[in-house]
Amino acid sequence: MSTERAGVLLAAVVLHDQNLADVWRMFRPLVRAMELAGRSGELADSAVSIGDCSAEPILDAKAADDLRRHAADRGIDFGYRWFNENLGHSGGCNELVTGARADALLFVNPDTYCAPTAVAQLLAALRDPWVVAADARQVPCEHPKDFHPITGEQGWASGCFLIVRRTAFEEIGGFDTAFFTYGNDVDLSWRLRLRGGKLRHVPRAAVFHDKRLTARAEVVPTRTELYQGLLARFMLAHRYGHPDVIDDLRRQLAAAELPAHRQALADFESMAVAGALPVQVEGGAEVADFRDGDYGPRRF
Amino acid sequence: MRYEFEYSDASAYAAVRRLMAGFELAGGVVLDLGAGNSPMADVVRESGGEYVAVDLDATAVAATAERGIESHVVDLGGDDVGARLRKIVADRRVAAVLALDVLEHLVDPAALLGQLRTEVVDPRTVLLISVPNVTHADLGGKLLAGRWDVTPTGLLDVTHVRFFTGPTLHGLLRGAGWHEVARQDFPLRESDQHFPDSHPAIGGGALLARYLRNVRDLADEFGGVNQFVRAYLPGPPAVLEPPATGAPFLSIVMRSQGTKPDSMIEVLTCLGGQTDADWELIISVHGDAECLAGVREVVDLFDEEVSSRIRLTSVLGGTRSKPANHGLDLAVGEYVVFLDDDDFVTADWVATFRAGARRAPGSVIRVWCADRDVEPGDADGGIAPYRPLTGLRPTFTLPFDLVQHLYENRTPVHCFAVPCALVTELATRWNDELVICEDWDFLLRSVLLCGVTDMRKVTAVYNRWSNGASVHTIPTWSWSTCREWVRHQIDSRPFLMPPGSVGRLAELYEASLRVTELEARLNDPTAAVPAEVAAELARTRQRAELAEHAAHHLRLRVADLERSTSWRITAPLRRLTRRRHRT
Repeated sequence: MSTERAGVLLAAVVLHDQNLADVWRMFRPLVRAMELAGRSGELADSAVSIGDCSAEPILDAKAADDLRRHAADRGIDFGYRWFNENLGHSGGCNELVTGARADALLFVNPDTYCAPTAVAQLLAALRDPWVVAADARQVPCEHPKDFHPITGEQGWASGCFLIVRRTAFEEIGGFDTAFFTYGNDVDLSWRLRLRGGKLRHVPRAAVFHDKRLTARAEVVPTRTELYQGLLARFMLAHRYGHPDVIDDLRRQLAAAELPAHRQALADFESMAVAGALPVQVEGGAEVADFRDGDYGPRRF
Repeated sequence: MRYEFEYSDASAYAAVRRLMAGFELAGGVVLDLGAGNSPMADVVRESGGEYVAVDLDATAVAATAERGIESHVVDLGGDDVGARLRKIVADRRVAAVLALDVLEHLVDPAALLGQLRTEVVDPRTVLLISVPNVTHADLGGKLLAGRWDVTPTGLLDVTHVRFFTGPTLHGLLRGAGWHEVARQDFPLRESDQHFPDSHPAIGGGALLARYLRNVRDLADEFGGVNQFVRAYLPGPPAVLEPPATGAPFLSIVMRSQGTKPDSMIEVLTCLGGQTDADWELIISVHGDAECLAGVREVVDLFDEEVSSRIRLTSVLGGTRSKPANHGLDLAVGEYVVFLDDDDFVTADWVATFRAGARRAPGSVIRVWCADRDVEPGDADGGIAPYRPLTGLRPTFTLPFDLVQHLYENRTPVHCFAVPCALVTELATRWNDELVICEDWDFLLRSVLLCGVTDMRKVTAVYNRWSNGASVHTIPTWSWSTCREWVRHQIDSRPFLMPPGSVGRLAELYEASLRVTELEARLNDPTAAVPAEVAAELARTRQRAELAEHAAHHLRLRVADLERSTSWRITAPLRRLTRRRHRT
């Protein structure tokens, strides 16, 4: 995406066991936000591509046709693919954008409702040629990761509603499928930064992320988050040269009570023995930040 | 049945007379339908009208005729009543028609009213009616206790075949083409149904009766009205609107001054993300056309799935209650909730209210709330419209406690939904005399009528602005005054408490007894003071002495300062500041 010409945007959404109402909840505002971004003259063309990792297709022919017509009425192309296997978020996203002629790729979680201004705001962030990716502010549970208050620069960008320059995405080979569903955004972000790209947080680009809260005002983890999130942390620590983090985690998990945590530790150890861990990246420790159980400083 | 009522200044007839005085009757016929022994004859003659009595009872008509009054036998329920009356008045102008204690005796009063309009009257003819009020508080209280005492005359006259409320009477007349132009409803705090006087549901000294009266008075102004006494002029029959269908479950009222478009976008985004889409949003803009246009721009950004659920309205002036009440007036949902334009909700907010309404229809539904501190973010050139300073805290995550809520509000405004019927049927609204605490007052009055179903689930986020918000500019005395006022209002009437309150109050009383006992022991010089208490007292005394020492030095420094030149130079500025604070 450049300042010289109107660009092409492809939004990629990977489904897994959502229902049709969930899909429409995500789809309508996304199409609207793309339509508004198109009206600003910044976009020459745009499309939404949905990939389905569910065991059975979520969309039948009629449902897919309804979505297609809704998008077409607003000048936006639409595609739907049922993968017939669970490729995970990383594999699904890569499949959807492979060979795309887009300038920018927008990765969208299916449990979101984006603000009508969100796409235009993220596209605006890409006007800076050094910015290779930008993410949106999540409401009502804002992500605490830090960003520069003036420039928006940040250590990593969330994959919940993430725009990435296509060339940059392809140069690093897209998402690493070793990170099935969680941690792939952190990994992508750090690899983009290793190549000199800047990541920006755009607080004026809002996206509602369907997070529920416990009585202690903590976000309820999703079904697979406890396992996948921890396994991803192990793998990120390995890939980015932080054996100290791995050792800390091992110590903390020695008395783990949650089966998901015990399973994540066991699976990581098995992968290590089998040599199945992701390839370590050179200079990874320079961009990786594992402080306080997070992937960088927090604002609160 | 034949009635022999006399005119009395303390009766509904006097109310009719007062009403009649507002119309020109001289030179025209005044048809008194169901005249009985014609108690209004002299009143009509005094006004210059030509009195004509009409009644079904031939004996009454003959007796009236013997008094030299024109009188006719007519069946007011007959199919040809219009033609019969037309024939009686012939070519005389009809100045007025009286239907006093008549309509409730007819199976089809609409037929009489319709024929009067089309066959008897001209556009200047006034119709004066007097109809018993079946919604008098005495009847309501007794019906609640299983009593319906039919009597020879009065509100429950044995010959009544129709019973009217304020709205049904209004509907009957409008539907027949009669439009109200004046009223002199006849009040009677204690009606003929006020017996037995000592019945707890109606007796003036009974707590139950006082409570029921209060509830009755919330509904409308007719609880103490004995007779509806009203005047109408003929016109086109009104087409009565059928009850609204397809109303959403939840009406959401958002007060906005249009000053936070970014926040509003985020709040609307939260609403778009609801799993239960059966809601409508009424944005009640507290500002001028420019504010309204700004909000409209925000709404128009959204996909029609969301924007079509949003209605915009605006009001000027008044307190923060004004836009709230304006929004309430427009709400058509089963339940109604408020959501400010800078607070958030999770995806199951609407669904949780609905689950509560299904579990306990009619109760106030409460959800829990997290909060966080935020501050405006763009003042220093930052890119964020606001900045969170903290993560989410479980601040409003305890079960609803009425006693605690009578002391302080622990339920943010977007954390309780009330049945819309509370607003439409019992006129529960925001108090527009309150500049603050208005949401607390509304909550308490709602809860004391409906009770609370606490869903014990966090579905809301309250953004606590660290500065810039109006709440921070309100002085402490104003808070305390408003809180006292709210408590006083609640305390001035009997109210309901939910199950469990007795135990709670007993606990509190027991705790207060323990405190009293401890105080007595501490103040008793002969009682032995426990060692740890004595040590704490000694430490406290020492700190108090140190504080007094420091205060003494501060006073000396202030005295020095006041003698200084700079203090005297800045005196006018300080006076100005003090004056501003007072205003």
